Amino acid sequence: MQSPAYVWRVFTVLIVVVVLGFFGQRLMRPASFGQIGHYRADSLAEIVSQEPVHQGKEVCRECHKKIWATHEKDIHFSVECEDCHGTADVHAKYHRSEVKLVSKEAAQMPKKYTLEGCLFCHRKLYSRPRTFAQIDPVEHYKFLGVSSTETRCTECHSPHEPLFLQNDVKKARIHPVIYECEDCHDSRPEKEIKDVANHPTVFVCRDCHQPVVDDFKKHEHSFLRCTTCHLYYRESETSGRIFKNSNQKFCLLCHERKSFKDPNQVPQIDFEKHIQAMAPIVHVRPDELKDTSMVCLKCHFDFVHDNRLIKKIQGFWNYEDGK
Amino acid sequence: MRLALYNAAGICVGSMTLSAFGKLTEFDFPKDLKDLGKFDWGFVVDTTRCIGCGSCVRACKAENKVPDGYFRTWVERYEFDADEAVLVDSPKGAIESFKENHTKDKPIVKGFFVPKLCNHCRNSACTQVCPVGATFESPDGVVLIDKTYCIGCGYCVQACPYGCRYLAHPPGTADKCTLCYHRIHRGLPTACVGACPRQARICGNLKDPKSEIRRIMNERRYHVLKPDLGTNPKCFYIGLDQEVK
Repeated sequence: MQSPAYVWRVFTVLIVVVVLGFFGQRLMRPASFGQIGHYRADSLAEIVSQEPVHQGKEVCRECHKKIWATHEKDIHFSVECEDCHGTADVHAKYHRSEVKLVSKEAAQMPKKYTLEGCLFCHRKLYSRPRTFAQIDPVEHYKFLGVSSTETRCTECHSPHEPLFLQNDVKKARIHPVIYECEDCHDSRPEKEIKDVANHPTVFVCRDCHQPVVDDFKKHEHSFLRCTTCHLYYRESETSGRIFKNSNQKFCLLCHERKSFKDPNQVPQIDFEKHIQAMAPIVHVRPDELKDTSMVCLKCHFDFVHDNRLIKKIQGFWNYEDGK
Repeated sequence: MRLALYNAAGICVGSMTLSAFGKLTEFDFPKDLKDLGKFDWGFVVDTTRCIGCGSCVRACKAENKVPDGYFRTWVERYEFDADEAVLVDSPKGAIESFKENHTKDKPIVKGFFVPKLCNHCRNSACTQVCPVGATFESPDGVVLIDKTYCIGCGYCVQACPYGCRYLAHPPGTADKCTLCYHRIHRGLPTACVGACPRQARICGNLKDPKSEIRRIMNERRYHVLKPDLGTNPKCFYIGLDQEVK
């Protein structure tokens, strides 16, 4: 029996569609599709060809050697320059190439100082690790009676060397773990550890440094904790690093006279004037005195520790002074 | 029709990339794509180190020009009260970090941050559902999107169990973390790894026994998100709490 004509027509149309589809797909499919998988192999090269925007801090070192070295030495060494200053792609390209494609203004680093910028990392949050430095901005401004909440963090704290460390932070001395009461308690408990039954054993400074701690409690700074000046950064459950910190800028954090500070809170000095007035007394030139890292402690050591006691201990451990 | 146009465009772009390879050799992108098999990129997030500063989120956005309101990586905050009730938040993906949460009446007893990003799964659901082969796993183990080939159907966005994908408008194609594929092949860290001030994020080659990521994975105890789904993720979390999904 002969098939009706419409069946042939349907078959013809189907065959034409299949053939057109087959050749059409071959023609339109990208050349590299299926080369190494069910995708276009060339897309890998396209994705890789994207230009990096973040340049990394080694690029900054090319021109900003001095500030780079300062930043690398202090505790913010792990913070990339671009975290605070913004991406450096345009800036680096502008200063590297001789042909200037953009204006100097457009090539400046994009981010400027904001209070929020500092607080992104240092705002006090319950979820942040307790050992990480963090502040409540309102409480912090009350400290030293800072009058205006518009006062910039950078008025007292240098972002490139926040701790003014004398030695490289990465070479700081390993020290067994120190526990402060605040590590576990929100505020210092009224009772001593020994008064509480079954309190876990903790290592406090006095356990090993009894003579120094006992003597320190007799001095003017006795309300401070040891780690206020001898900064401690915990790296693991058992150990951390302790930083030798006794330079002038660290003392000046509290004792430098600033317009926004309440003068009645702690003794404050105008550093320049103080140096000019005191240099003749210690028989050195003012600029020579100013450059000494231990400048404050040269005269005021007894406000912190008993000089003879410390020298005796340093002799015992064979430390070199200031190194 | 749109697919056909993309296919045609693909031919043009494909031929153009031959010249692109010339440039790529400058930073050792393998000429032979089979060399990529020597790599298996993985990611470690140490939640115990994260401070929730959001530097990673800001860096990722700047590096990859992620449109406003979308995130390739974000940070979540988990807070627990005394009754073990959990509050999870991530305001604006933590691009402006976090502020103290005052919405809870009960005091918080535990809290931590968990950065999230594409898990670059070995059995990724997104790759399986893509109807045109625009989402794929590269030979070095990174799940990528061929944006010139994507038709923007959004199947992959629905399929990803970790919510790591989005359809950005414009251009209307799917987008996600590429593990900064353009940076890792130049020997640079990913933008988020470079920006993290606490080294809470580590990216590296899992096939290299001497790599930093392998050293950490050999030393520390880690976990992955939603292991029961069988996606076999390559983003490993240290210090993960059971509440984190």
